[in-house]
Amino acid sequence: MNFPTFDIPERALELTALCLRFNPANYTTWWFRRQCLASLSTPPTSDFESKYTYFSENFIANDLMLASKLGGSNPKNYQVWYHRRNLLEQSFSDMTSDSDTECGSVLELVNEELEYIAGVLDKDSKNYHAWSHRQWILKIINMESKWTAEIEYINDLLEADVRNNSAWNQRWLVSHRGSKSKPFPVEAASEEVNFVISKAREDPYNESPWRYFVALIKEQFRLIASSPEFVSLVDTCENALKEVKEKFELESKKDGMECTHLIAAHIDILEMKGDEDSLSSAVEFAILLESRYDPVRKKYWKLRAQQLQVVAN
Amino acid sequence: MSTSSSFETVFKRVSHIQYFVQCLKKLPSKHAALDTNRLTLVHFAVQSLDILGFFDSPENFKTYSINKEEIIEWIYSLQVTSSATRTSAGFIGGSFLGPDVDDGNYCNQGHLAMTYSAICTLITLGDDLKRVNRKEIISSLKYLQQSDGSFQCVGYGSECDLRFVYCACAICYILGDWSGVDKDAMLQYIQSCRTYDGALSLVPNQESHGGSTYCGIASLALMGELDQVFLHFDGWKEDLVRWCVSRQMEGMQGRPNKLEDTCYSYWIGATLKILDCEYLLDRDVLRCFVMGCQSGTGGFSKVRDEYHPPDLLHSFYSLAWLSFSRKELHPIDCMLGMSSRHFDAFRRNVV
Repeated sequence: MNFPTFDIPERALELTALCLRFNPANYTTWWFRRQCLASLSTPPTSDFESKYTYFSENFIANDLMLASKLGGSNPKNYQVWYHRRNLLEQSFSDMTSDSDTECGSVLELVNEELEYIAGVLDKDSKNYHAWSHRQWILKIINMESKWTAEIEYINDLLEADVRNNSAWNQRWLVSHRGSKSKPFPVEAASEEVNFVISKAREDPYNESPWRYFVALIKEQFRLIASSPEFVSLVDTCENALKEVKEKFELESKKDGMECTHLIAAHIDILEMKGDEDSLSSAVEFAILLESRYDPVRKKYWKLRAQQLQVVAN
Repeated sequence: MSTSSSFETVFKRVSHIQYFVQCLKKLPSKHAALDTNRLTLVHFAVQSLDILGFFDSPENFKTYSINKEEIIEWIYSLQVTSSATRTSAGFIGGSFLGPDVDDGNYCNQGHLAMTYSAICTLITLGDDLKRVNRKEIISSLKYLQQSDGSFQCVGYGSECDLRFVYCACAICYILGDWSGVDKDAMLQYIQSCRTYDGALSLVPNQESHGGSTYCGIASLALMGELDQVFLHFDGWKEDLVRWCVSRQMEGMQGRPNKLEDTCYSYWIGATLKILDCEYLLDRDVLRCFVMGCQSGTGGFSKVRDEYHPPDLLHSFYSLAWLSFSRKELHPIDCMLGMSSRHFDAFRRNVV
């Protein structure tokens, strides 16, 4: 697609900055600005090829700053985040250079961008756009050192707020190295379960770790179903879950059944085990949640109990 | 004072009508950031007025100085056609690039969400879509669909996610023409947005979210692929239903451990309705929450506090969910997000 060229792209560029101050959500202005930047940018070599638009280094730096200024009071503006991505796309995706200097300067840009996102998440730890952008970077550069560092970052976030579901989701992404076809290695699954249980212990009412817990086990179930390793893992998990409930009851003097997400997770485990006793316990738990402990969801738990009863029969 | 009367809130029908009528005429300047999305704002207002039965009484047009034909003409003035430089036909969100929508202004690319809004609003206003450039809109979809099955919203590029997959599906369904999209690729993309906790994210690997879950499930329903997909992914429907019902505190939250927000009554409520499971919600408790978010001067805010004034999005989606169960309201179609009766009438005329 060939768009008309401009006579004075520098002037057009200035005007877009003015327009964006009036409305930073005008996607046409952002696109037009990128056209100007691209026409003013000169690729490093005459035979330069990339499926992404090339922008000069100084333009990237300058426009990231512009985006930061405009994004500051509009952290949920799709267009500003998309602009950042557009600016960085070419250098991040083509980062396979043998030259240390070239790779070094892009790596610096990666670090700066991850730091910028961390700053945004510091103000709103669940900003969906910020997390999407962060995930995009980690996947496109796909560096083991960055994946590893991200676990540390996630752990810090969970220390600050163990209920941060975005951080839990990020943990799933990172432990799978951004790929749906790379399930959690069996050996590492137990260790991960220990981590999750330790976090669930902090607040057994918290939904996030329990869903992560169930998902972990379900993934192993799909991989190794009725193997001895799976049976052993499920037993360990069930015991850990019961231990969390007992400790909660001891310390709080409350009924552990109130931790409905813990009980829901237990029901899921029992369903996976699939034997007569487990299913019958699962039905009992579901009926208790229906009749007493989770009134808002009583119709759901009634249905769940019926579905489990069908499997049991 | 009994408990029930402390939660009983009167439905402020007249105030709501006044609110939407006012929005159609003028919006406060802090809405400037929505200038490019005016068509969507009109869609919210018109669908809401229809829910409230505003269009049932012709005297309302005079009383409130609303002219249906004027709105229809305004919408058609935003239609753009394809050309050598314009790859996406359809509708633009407003006249923010000036009045020239002809070939000369190649920046005026049709926007997928505005095209969806335009078509829905036109139908609800009783228009027959004869002046809509159906062929061009459908063939534009080829330029908007990406290799991974997702869609961008404008010809020259944008972020790609489930919102635009949904818009594309709704457009194809309403116009009765899927020739412009690769359905298999769309299916692949939706499936790639499944999250570990049973719902759908906006883009692959992201966090499960009520809005994206609705977009994905509604898209599958519009494509007629819902049953097949659930057959293929054993247990997914059950996980999805669990995730949806778990979003209810009193009101609905959009993600685990986030605050309740009225618009999720629709995003999650409609998702469950598509799955024939909406009855699983505690509708009384949810209704209390939503009704409690009514503003004294009309409209609904996202939560029940003094810091959040009503806005068009939350007002529409609150009414949309209420329309599922309140007999005096005209219901919204849970797959299309528009007036059920007007879509049915449109469909009958087409056949």
